[in-house]
Amino acid sequence: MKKGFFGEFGGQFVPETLMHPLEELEEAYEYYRNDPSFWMELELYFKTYAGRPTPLTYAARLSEELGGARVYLKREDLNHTGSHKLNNTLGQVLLAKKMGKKRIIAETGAGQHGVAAATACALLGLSCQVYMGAVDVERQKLNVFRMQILGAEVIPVYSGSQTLKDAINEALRDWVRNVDTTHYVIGSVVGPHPYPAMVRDFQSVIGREAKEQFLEREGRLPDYVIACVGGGSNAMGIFSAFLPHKEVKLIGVEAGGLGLETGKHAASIGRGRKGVLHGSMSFILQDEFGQIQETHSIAAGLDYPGVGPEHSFLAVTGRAQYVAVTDKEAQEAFCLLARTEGIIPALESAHAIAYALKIAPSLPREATILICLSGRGDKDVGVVMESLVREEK
Amino acid sequence: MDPLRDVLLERRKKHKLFIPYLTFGYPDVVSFCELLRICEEEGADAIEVGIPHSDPVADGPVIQTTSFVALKQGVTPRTVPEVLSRFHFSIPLIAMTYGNIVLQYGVGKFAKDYREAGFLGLIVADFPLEAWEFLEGARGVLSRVLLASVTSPLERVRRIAERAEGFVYLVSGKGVTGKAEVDFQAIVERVTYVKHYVPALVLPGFGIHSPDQAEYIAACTDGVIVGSALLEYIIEHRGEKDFVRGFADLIQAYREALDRA
Repeated sequence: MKKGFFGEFGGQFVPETLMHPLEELEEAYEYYRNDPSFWMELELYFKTYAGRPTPLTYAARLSEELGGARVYLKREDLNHTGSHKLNNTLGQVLLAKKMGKKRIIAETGAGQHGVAAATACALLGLSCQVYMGAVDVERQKLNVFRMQILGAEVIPVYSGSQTLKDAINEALRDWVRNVDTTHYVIGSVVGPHPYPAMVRDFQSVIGREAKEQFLEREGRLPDYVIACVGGGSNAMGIFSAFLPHKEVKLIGVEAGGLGLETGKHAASIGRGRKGVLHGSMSFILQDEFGQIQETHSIAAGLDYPGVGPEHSFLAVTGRAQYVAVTDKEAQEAFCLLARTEGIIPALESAHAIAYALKIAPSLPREATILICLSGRGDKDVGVVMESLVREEK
Repeated sequence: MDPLRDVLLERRKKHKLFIPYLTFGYPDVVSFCELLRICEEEGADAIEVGIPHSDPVADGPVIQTTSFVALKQGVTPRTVPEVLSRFHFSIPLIAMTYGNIVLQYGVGKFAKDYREAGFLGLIVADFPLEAWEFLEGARGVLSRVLLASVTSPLERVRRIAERAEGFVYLVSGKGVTGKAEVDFQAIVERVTYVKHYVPALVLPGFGIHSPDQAEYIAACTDGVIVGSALLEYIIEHRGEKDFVRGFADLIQAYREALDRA
């Protein structure tokens, strides 16, 4: 396989000015990846700062209500800052610090990754600027304020559709200008090599823990592992541990928005075509001419027209299956989990739960489903409330 | 086969090369075609035609603006050869765009259609040397220009120059189009090094914003590429009475500056 490719996906499709910093990053990552003391340091932060390992919860009442397979939840919502995003930002910011970088830039959609980046920078003493689409700044005011409290500067992006993809464009432009001093912390398994592999490695702690916890609890591996997929970092994180175990079915759940047939969704694998976006070859949502299309999802963290190249690879090789659930189904799962388990999931994670609700009832009692509950839903309570009020009218 | 290089080498015998960049369809298709004609008449050696993309990561605010305006008017990568094949220009056109545009068009078909419309070269802003193989379908039809940068190590610039067709597009500073701060020392160092090993034409672009600066830089290169500075003029002055004359004067000023270099 060519360097930086997963089959036909991945690669480095970036302006030449970024090739040298990418090479530096690759070298540094290769060095520290093989340095046990780097991982010991990171794991110490995971344990004493982030609160890892996160628990594995058996969802007893939910399983009972579904009357089929037994459902387990990997509780990334209990990670510090409320989602899996911190695993990656701690790893990357620590790496950047070792590389002698003084400044961190990041992009954010809903603000989860931005908050996690700002948090890691506060902890490790680096300056942090977060690019955020102007539309998202408006609809996620609370997260903007959280980042500011953490000492980060939030820079609104007014170009293009003023959402996540434009925030990534602007962060890349900043990086081109400031390559010497700055590290760009990408928030998902997207972007040019080495990002997709590096972010997966930092998130693989989810899968390692979950596999061990599940084995301890059930004495065997789960039949299904289900995770939501926007860019796909929590999914790659949990999938990575189960990839060698062919008997474990891996399912990625994309945002079906208002329905795939409406065109208002963010199902890059389900409805996209192969193309280049943000530095890598993957499935992307585009028009016939290669212009990137606008997406829709009730979950801001899934509202992205691309997907990590390794997911595209897992999709075409058939190792993982990718499906979509609608905004409405995700919202119902959001409410059901809250009622039956006392856990309010992020709307992103609710997509994974929604798909489990579809398959669990028809599976036997011995079957097990492991869901990555990638984040908590406090941030989404307002969105769901508005949506429920609209439905009542 | 390197059709663009042949033409540029011939013109280089006469003087330093001046290549203006304009976004196709800005401010509108008809005006754009008039502006191309002015560039030709006022002494440009080739013209870079920007094919707008929804996500132009290598571009600064000026080319972002002109690209979005063109897209809003319905410009597509197919409009470009359809329109330009109705004209004849005495100088070569060079397509500058992003990889996904060319891939979705089909590289071979893109090369064929654009060649028939007067294009001799192709520049893909987000395809570095490592992505070269993806442009295989254009081989021998359009010269595939490669970009080098002031951040590229010398040995890498040499490898780029060995592979590049047409010319080496040297990104003249860190940053995006129109915003890069020209790093004169780094340019001189790279041009000198490359020329020692490879008989390539080297043209810097990104951030060159005045005839005086163009003259200064061209003293040590084969010429310059100017884009955002021209588009800025168009954005600011279009609709004014003397707009066309003013644009012609600006192109002429660059031409004269390069003739002095």
